[in-house]
Amino acid sequence: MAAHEQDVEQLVAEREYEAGFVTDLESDTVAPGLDEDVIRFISSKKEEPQWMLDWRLEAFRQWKQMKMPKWPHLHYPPIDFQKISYYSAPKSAADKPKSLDEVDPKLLETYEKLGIPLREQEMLAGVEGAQYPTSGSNVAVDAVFDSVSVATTFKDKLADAGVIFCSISEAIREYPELVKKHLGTVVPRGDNFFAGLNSAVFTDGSFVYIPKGVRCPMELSTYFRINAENTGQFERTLIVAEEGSHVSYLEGCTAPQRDENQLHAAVVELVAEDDAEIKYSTVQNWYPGDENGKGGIYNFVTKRGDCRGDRSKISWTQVETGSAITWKYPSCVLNGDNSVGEFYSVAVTRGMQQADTGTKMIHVGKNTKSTIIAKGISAARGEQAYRGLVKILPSATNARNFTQCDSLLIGDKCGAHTFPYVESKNSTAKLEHEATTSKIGEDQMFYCLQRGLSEEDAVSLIVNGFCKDVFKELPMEFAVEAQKLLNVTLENAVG
Amino acid sequence: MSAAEQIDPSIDHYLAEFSRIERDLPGSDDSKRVRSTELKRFAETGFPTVRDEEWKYTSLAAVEKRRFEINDESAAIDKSALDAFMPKGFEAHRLVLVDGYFNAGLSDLNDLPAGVTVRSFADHLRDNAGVGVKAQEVDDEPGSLAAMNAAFFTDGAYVETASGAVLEKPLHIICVSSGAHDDRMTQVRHRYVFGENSQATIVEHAIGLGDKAYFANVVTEAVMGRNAQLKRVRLQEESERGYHVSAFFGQQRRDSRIFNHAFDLGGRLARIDTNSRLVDQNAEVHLNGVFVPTGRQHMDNHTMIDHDTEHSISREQYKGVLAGHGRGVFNGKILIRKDAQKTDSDLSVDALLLSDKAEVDAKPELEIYADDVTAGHGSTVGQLDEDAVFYLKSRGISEEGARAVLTYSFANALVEQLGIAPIERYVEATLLKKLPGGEAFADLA
Repeated sequence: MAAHEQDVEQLVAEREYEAGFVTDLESDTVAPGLDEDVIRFISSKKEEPQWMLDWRLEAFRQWKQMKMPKWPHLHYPPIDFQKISYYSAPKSAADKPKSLDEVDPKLLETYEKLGIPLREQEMLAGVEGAQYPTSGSNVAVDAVFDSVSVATTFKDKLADAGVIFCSISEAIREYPELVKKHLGTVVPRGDNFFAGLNSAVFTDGSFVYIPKGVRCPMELSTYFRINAENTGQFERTLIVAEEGSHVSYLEGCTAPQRDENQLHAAVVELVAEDDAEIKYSTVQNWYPGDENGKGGIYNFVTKRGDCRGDRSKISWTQVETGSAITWKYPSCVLNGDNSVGEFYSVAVTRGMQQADTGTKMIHVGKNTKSTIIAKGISAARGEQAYRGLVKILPSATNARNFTQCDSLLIGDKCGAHTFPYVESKNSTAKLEHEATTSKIGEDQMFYCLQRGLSEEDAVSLIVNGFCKDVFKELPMEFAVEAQKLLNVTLENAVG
Repeated sequence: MSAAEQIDPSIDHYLAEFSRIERDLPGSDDSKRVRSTELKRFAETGFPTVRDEEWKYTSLAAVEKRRFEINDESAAIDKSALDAFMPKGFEAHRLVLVDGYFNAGLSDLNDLPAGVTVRSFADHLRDNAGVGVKAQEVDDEPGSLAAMNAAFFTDGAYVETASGAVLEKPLHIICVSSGAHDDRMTQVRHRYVFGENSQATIVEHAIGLGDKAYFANVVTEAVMGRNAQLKRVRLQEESERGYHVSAFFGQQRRDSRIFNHAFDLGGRLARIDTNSRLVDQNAEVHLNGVFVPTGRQHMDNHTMIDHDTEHSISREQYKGVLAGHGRGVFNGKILIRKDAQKTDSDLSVDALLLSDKAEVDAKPELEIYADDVTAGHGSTVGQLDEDAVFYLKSRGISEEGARAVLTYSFANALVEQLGIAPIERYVEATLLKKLPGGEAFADLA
């Protein structure tokens, strides 16, 4: 068995990053550094109204008073925020393409290399009348290339339903009242260090508005890629689901390989009114750095959903396989009575990757329910922590929570940690938490091998079984991709 | 660094207090130096605050704003004052400390078996210049309050068992805070040194009398030799105005076992840190705890089990019953280090919230660096099963009575595991007295 384990580690270390490539695009990039002038530059570049600029500047003033959080179970050198360039836009974005010929061929090449279900490049370029070729698959794509949205598809079909799906910069110009009403209401500017930074300098992101009673006719998807050197990405996503509406939003990320650490600090805000439902799924596969921990993305994300209305529901599903550092706690504030929050997560750390991730469920309304299923897989020298909070306020009569966190360790140099906080102030609340840590059982392996499976297939089978509870929550298109990603990630993990 | 800038007024008081009593503190010159170092360590950090992650849910502001003083001598206490706290039929060797000093008159340490030493820790320090104020084997005693204790402690119990010695009857250590004067502090330190294959049961019983505010800070060090076994019972019945802080540091060699049973019933505020380090194979630690904050009580249990090497075992079970404005905190950390393969560990914490004004905060933590281990934890927060309440009511038991019985059985599952019948009955009776409607079921105990 010992020899077998050695192989595992060796192979885990050797796995290469498949999406590692750099597209050479001409970028409209501002010099590194951050002060009020940079914020004014971003704001004017985006042709933003005065109120937006004031909002950003106020955020910047608050951010200057804040300190980097020290509590995560993460180790990384201090980040110099003056060495980062805060604005980078592909040139082609200035002039949106009308047909495929006008699309920057490098961009198309990038999508091709990604091999994600984006091969319909006409759709991406927004060529009129183009149909999504895969029958039964309905996905609208708002592709974010670096910080600016370069292509939006299915706009018409969505417009028919009354759904607004556009970049946040466009929304600030076109729908200022909606943005003004909701921006910063779920994640305030002063919420935390990274949310503050994002509020000051966010360059783009998506805006989704589902009107009352509308069931969004298709899955909405955004692909984020970090591309230009030395630029951090600061997306801001805002999804508003009005009374009785329903939306499923997919977010997927891969990034090209490079040596400098890149900073990513996104903010995602979800608002669900009465009877509304938002499903937010993420597959994150940014460059994790090489086996010695060189390079890789620093991912500091604030994601929070507000179940504002009664009987509303917000569901987070995430598959995190990339990034050198992940700091991410998608949360639900269950304000409405009978509202429901869900969190399903698979996180993989290998090489020198570190992840401190989990969720917060804040129960405010009566009869609120939350479910947390977190699966962590740690291999090689990966370090992983689940950090979660379930908080029951005195008003949350009959609140209910179920939490399960399981960790799988592959190799004896990795770490898996669990920090679940439970705070209950209501005597009618019922909370359950359980956690287990284990490795792939020798008996499980033996059984599979004895049935004729190769070691690799056996591990893949066992790991997929371990993650099944989460994968089944993903929309179909993503479930397949996620499973493939996991298989590829751990492909050579077990020899 | 100017000391005046760094140190807040409450620390000033304790620095002055230390100079006042320093001369009388037991220990050799070496010990005095250690005490000064520890005082400095305490002064540098001061009392922990809620900004400190380990103290997130427990504020010591009430302790910090008072100016506690060491008692110059113990108050005269009549034996009958302790009668109410004596478990019926409990036969034990007895060591009594009053206001931080050994009281020979109230103690009963005759007929100790051969190879077992039980005496005042202060006397032991005075007689043996080579003995330090901190046990050498316990590498690290984190926390500024443990440092405060090392600087200030006036006495305690010293227990040493020779190789193969067995203490047949339990040892009952009673630590009384008389509450005779306002704002006094009791700083007590116990040390247990277990030789190979030795065995003992020790009951640490904290009792508060009177109605004056006081601060009790207790540290226990246990050094476990190979295959030694300690059953330790912590029975905490401080008075309503007592602030109780207690820390346990265990160090376990091969095959040694610690069974720790904690019952927190009294005190205005209680903070208990239970730490054990398993440094050799097949060492085993079991932590059981029941905490019952009612009224305005606040009880905070922190545990830390450090699996340092392979093949060690830990089991942890805590149950909280919270009523009134009671607040309960539990933080259980299991650390499994790199070399601790084949560790087998399990932790569970369950809380019963009986009132809307009560609050519980629980955090079972796992920090794991080895892959071939079994580690799990579970935590639940809930309330009584309404069906069960209904069932009991249909059998003619009052609503209040039904709730008391069910609550009692919830906690009793852990009390029963103690295996010392007189103490089990004593705890059960005390528990029932705390529960609304419980008096009527006193005969259950």
